[in-house]
Amino acid sequence: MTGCWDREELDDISVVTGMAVDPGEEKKYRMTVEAINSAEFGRQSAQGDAPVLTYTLEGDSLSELSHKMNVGLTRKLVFSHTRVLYISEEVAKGGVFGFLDFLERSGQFRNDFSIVITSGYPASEFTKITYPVEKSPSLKLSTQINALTEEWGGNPDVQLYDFITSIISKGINPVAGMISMRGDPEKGQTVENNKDLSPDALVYADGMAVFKNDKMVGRLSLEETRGYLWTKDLRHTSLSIKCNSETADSSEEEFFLDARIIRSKVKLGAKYQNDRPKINVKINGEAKIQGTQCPNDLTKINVFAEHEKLIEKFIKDEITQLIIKVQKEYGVDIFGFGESLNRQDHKKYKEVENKWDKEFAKAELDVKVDIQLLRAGIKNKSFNADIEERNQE
Amino acid sequence: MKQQVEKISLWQLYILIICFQIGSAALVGIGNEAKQDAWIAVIIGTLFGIAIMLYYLFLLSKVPGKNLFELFVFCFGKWVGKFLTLLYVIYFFYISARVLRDFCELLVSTIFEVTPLEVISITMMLVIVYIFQHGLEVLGRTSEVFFPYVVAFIVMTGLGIWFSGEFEMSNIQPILGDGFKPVLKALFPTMITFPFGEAITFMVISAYIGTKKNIKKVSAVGVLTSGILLTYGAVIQIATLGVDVKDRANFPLLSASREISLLNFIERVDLIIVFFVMFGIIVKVGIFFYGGLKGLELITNKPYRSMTLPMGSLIAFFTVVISHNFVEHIEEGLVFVPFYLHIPFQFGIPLLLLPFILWKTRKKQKKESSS
Amino acid sequence: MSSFSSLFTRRKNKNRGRISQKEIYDKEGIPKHFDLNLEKNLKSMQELFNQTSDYEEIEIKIGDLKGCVCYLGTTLNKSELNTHVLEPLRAAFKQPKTESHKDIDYVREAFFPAVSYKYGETLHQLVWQMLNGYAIIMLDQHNRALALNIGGTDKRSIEEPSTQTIIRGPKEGFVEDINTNIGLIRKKIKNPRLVFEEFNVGIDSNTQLKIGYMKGIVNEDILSEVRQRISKINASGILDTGNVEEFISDETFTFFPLVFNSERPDSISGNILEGKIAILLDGSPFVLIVPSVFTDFFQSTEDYYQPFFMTSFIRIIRYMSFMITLTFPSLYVAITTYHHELMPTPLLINLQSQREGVPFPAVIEILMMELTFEVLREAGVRMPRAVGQTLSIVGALVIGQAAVEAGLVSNVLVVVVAFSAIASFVSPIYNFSIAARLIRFILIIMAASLGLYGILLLLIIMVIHLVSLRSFGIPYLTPVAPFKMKDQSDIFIRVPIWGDRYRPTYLMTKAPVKTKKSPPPSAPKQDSGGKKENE
Repeated sequence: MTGCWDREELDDISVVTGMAVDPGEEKKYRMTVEAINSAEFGRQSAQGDAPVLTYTLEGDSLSELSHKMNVGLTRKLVFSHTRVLYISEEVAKGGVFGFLDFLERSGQFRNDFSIVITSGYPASEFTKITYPVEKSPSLKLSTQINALTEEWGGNPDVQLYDFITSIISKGINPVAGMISMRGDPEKGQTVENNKDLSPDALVYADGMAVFKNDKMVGRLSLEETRGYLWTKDLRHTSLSIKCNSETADSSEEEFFLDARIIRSKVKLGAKYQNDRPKINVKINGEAKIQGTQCPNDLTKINVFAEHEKLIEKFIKDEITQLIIKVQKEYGVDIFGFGESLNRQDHKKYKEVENKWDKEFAKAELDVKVDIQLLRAGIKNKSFNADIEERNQE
Repeated sequence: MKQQVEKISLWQLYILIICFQIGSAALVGIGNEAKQDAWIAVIIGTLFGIAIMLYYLFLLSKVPGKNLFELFVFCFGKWVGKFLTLLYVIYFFYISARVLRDFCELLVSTIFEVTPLEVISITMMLVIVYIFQHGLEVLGRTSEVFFPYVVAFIVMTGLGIWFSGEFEMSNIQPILGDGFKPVLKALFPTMITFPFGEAITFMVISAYIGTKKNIKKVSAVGVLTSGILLTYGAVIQIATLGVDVKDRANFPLLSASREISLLNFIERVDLIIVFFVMFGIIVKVGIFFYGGLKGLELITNKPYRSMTLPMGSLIAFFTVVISHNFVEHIEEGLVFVPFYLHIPFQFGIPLLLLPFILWKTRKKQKKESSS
Repeated sequence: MSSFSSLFTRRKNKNRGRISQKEIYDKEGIPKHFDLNLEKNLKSMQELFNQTSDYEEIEIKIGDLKGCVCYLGTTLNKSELNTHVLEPLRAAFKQPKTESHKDIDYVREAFFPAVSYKYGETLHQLVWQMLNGYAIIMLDQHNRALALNIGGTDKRSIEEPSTQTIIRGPKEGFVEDINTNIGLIRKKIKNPRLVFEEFNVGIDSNTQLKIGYMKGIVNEDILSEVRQRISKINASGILDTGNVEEFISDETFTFFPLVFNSERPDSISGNILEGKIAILLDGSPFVLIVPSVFTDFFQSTEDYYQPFFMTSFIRIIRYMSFMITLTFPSLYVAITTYHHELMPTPLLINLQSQREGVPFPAVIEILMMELTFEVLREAGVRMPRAVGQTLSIVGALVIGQAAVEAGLVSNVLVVVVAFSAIASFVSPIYNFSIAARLIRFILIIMAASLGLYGILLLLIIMVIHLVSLRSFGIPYLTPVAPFKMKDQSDIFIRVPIWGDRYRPTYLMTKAPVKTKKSPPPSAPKQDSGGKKENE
């Protein structure tokens, strides 16, 4: 059998699931790869050894480093299954252009990995924290990000093409999720961490990073991340909304309404009126009540309508506060209003294209929210109401 | 039972036209100059393509039963005709080497990082030589077998991307934001010549259709269908990748198909796309090859089947040799080839044929009406 | 020294009783007509039969005519011989002599009225007839001999065919005796236009071959081509229709069978009714059908007896199984060695963990397992029945399991190989699955050298090959390529029987329409109020 130039038996390769980029001490970058030790994943061959192996090298270009890793690792690395790219805060602040080109150009990397910025610890540490449910740290994080984005909207699951397109386009700037670690990373690097019911070290999601072109300029908290995601067709989230009646005084205990958004769609718009930029956000969505602490009677239409308004106000406030914060503090359009302007008024966009971020910072904002409250689970009246009544008797 | 003479049916002609036009065009991005209006450029290009096809068929219909080269001899006499035929033979062989090179580059950039080009070009040419050892009708029938799958996969790519939620129709906007200029830039000279002008090779094949009656209609519908599929492809590429990424991608349909992710299981299917393009390439290279062989047949008066193997190896060799590297290949294709090769061969000489044909056939008609 | 062309005798049914036309050929030692002297003839006969032990002679006397009954004891039924020949002759012995006994016709009419007969004028004919189970009555001073058809020896009784089993449908199968087989077909098609023509094939074996067709439906060109090819059969012995197949196929250097065969009368009859030609050989329970195309090999007669939804589904499964058998192992090799990106990550990691410690590259693994399977399969067929079945199934799994535990192969490989092997049995016709099994090996090697590209290249070459094959002039992949819309009703899906009104167009039959158009079956219309029930 001649001519087998590209043959790589499964025995000869190691699958890389995570890559971490830190600033290098001697050279430009310091790259860590996380490669799977596949014997640990088979039911019969698992021996309790480390499920992944990491290795770190310094170099000037990631592509060279990706082929150099065999300095310490046994097998050829295959990057096509990479799930997470960890970029440390410092590298992000310095600009990520340098290595993104390699990722895009190489045929091996696909578009289905998440880009996250790490804070608090070097990025390489994050590739080593073990977790019992999902043995590979990167696979764990990748699943975690998907779940969080779906369930609550806590991470803008950013993938490579979106990121690059946002860098290049003048009408939008990129973002990326942020992660942090709690606990002792030293302890987290061993398999013993997995035997603990509450692991010693744990990676958790911590909001998101705001970029201007390819440099990181700021960060937003977890709640603000959710606010951002409203502009990206947020799929599900849960809100806790204060539902005391307005006449109550502030000394009373606060009661909250738990609303769950089932689906939402957003329309972003931007236009110029008298040479002043105006941006608007329209949200359409459906919600249901998952729990309530207020004693209101949920079988009445007007109660439903009131709750609906509460929800709408809550969302509107959240979005408005977030956009204003981004406008004032960072002055970068991460939402894509510029692109909306391009679509709606191409000529005007061409005029202001080069200074759009500044225009965005001074744009007038208008937010409209329209939520339909559909149902309230399988019970109608809350038993709170009965207790309240009993108390009053 | 005698083996019948080479004839292909109308349905096979239709399929061949579609596979031919889609062959490399669906894979390599076309209409990039028009950015997000590339699809509009494709639609207009299709209309031009139909017109071009009908023009060629019109020329052929005046002198029925003859293929392109016999037309040359008919109009210009033996020596000039043979000389022109030789030029076309070289042209067709060169283009088939180019198209094959396109495909080899694709495979080597995506799958076979290390395998040398020769391996791919030789194996592909072996298949094509094998087809033509059996004759043109085998090409027709083979494409009949594969045609449903090729089309189905293009359609399913689009559907797959759609269901994966990666379609951003807003990427297509603003429609005609910069006016028609970019569209026109995309049309001339690139899109008219590639892929629509390459229909000139069908002037060689159309002489061998079984029933001559509806050739014009069927060919026009064939070009129309391929135009629709190409537009569909262009829309998918723009919507999924965005104008910018599409522009910078060497193989945009491939990059777009990487986005398909259904049920967490059907992922990473871009390789499958490669293989359906493979069949389109075989058809395209095959038809150019056949055109060249028929020309050689005219010049040397030898049956073309005896020349398949030597010419096939020649093309496999040229595929590797024509450019040193990918950039040279692309630049040749965008700058040199359209102006110096496609325009004269696809338009110049056929336009020249027109007065000669009309003159000669009018003479014939006069003779017939007077006798 | 056998440079003689084979015997070619064609008997026309209209000319019963008269000497049929024959081609006169040279065979050493047989004079054209036999002697009037009985002794000389008997001597020649004995010589011809080389003193074989089953050659028997009985001297008789009819009136004052001396005569002899000669026969080969092993070719006919002795009790029948007794009843129909010897008993009347004993009666004849007692008869008074009359002049009219001089005529052999009279002898026949008087004593053997109920037996079918032929006359023979040359020793060659008589030899031939005796070989076919006739008893020869030779009378002194007569230049014709009477050959009486006594019927054959024991034959296998009609039982269920062993190779093509179905769940629903007739369970009769052909046997070795050609006349019984023809009888089975005649039971299914009671039509005088069902015609059988007789041939002899095999220089030394002189086996009887018959072709059957429906006159008025079958295409005459194909028919004459069939006749021509049969006449060109040039072999020492033809023992099974498989031999015939090799002679009449358009092309022998191909993996794919170009001639359909079946052991089932309903299958053959169905095909005859479609306008095809059946070829039966004495001594073989497998009957051939020509011309046949690719899609014929995926049809089983059961398809027509079960509801059409189910059979359409099963047909599609059959085609898929063919593709699976062909490509599954090679896809495994290609994806695990060249295209790791194609697999979802969890699957890749799983596979990797299974292959830990396996010493061979995937290609060698697969080839080893495939060869093992082929050996097991062949052994399973040859083994005596008592041992065979258990051993082959258990053996395969056990060997597979043992190999896995020994660390020679990985688990997933056993699954791949076993599944593709099982899938190869879905094709109803056995010799078609051979094509898939053989090509599978080539595909594995192509996959190992060029990955998915190699697989697809070889598949395209296979399609090109299929497309260029012809079976009696009809392209092998009809009606897929060239595409015939009308014939699509019976390929991938099956249209209900009441909708299947046309014969396949590629056969160019003389009667393309089977039935007149009639509305599909439906429930009878009820009057409002349900009066019908009361009536």
